[in-house]
Amino acid sequence: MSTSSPFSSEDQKENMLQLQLAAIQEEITALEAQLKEAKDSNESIERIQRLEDEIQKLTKTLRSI
Amino acid sequence: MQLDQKIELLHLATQASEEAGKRLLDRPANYLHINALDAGDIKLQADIDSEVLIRNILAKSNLPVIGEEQGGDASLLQSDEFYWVIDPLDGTYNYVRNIPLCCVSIGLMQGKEPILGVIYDFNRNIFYQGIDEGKLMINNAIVHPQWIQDQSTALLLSSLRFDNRQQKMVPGSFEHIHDDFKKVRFLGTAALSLAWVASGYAEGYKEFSVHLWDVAAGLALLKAAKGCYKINFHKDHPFALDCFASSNADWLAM
Repeated sequence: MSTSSPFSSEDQKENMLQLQLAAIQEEITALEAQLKEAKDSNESIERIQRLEDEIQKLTKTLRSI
Repeated sequence: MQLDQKIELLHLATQASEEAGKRLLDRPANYLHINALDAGDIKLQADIDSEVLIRNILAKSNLPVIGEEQGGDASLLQSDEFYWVIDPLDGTYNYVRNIPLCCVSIGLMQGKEPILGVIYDFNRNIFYQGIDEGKLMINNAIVHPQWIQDQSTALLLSSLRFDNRQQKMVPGSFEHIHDDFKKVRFLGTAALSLAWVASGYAEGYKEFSVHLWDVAAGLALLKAAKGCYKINFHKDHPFALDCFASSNADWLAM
């Protein structure tokens, strides 16, 4: 294999992981805010459930690391 | 599979796509040798050699591979196993003509679910990378697509409908391109079309009778970008399918 570029270097693996983790955490925070707003404004149970499921799924992804 | 394992595989796919893409960009003399030519497709030595190169690198993962040139085990689609799906050169005709719309496409699937993907636009040195439960990345940066929300001003990427068995255009080839989108563009590469939808350059992609290797990586990118898609597998060919992808689930009528 030829010399790797900045996109495929070994360092990039850890960088990609950290980027993804930060982005997922950011999404969880945004979803939690949406969930609070949904509950405060008595939105449908289905929407609240969808948000809770999504938060749970993403939290599980974070915790698996 | 955990996120860090997916990153490991995404990194391997990035290495493979980069190696293949750089070789394609070099255009070795034998790469332009035409091995097969019919009314619907062209097969170059570049397609074959690029797939061999990619398979050799992906072998490190010990996962099975389905590729455009060498095929693969169709029963993987019905299993829970992880496997690679590769298009070693998507947009071959563009490549022959020096039109800079072609790419290397490597996806990881489990059954019929795209898990992760890398599409390497080697002409522009752009890597589109995505993981189903993660985010879309372009050249090492997280990207949030800025899609147009109003379909009447949105862009659809598509192609004409060609019947490979009959070797002619399907009657009413334009009918699948409905009036709901403002504009339609034909890039001549399904993989790059999907990467562009995932990236927010377009809002829809619709194509009939494509193959799994054309769309596997692109659909993973779309999942990472939180887009949506619908695919219908053909009954007479295990890897043939119709595909409609979009930024908005309400626009997904086939």
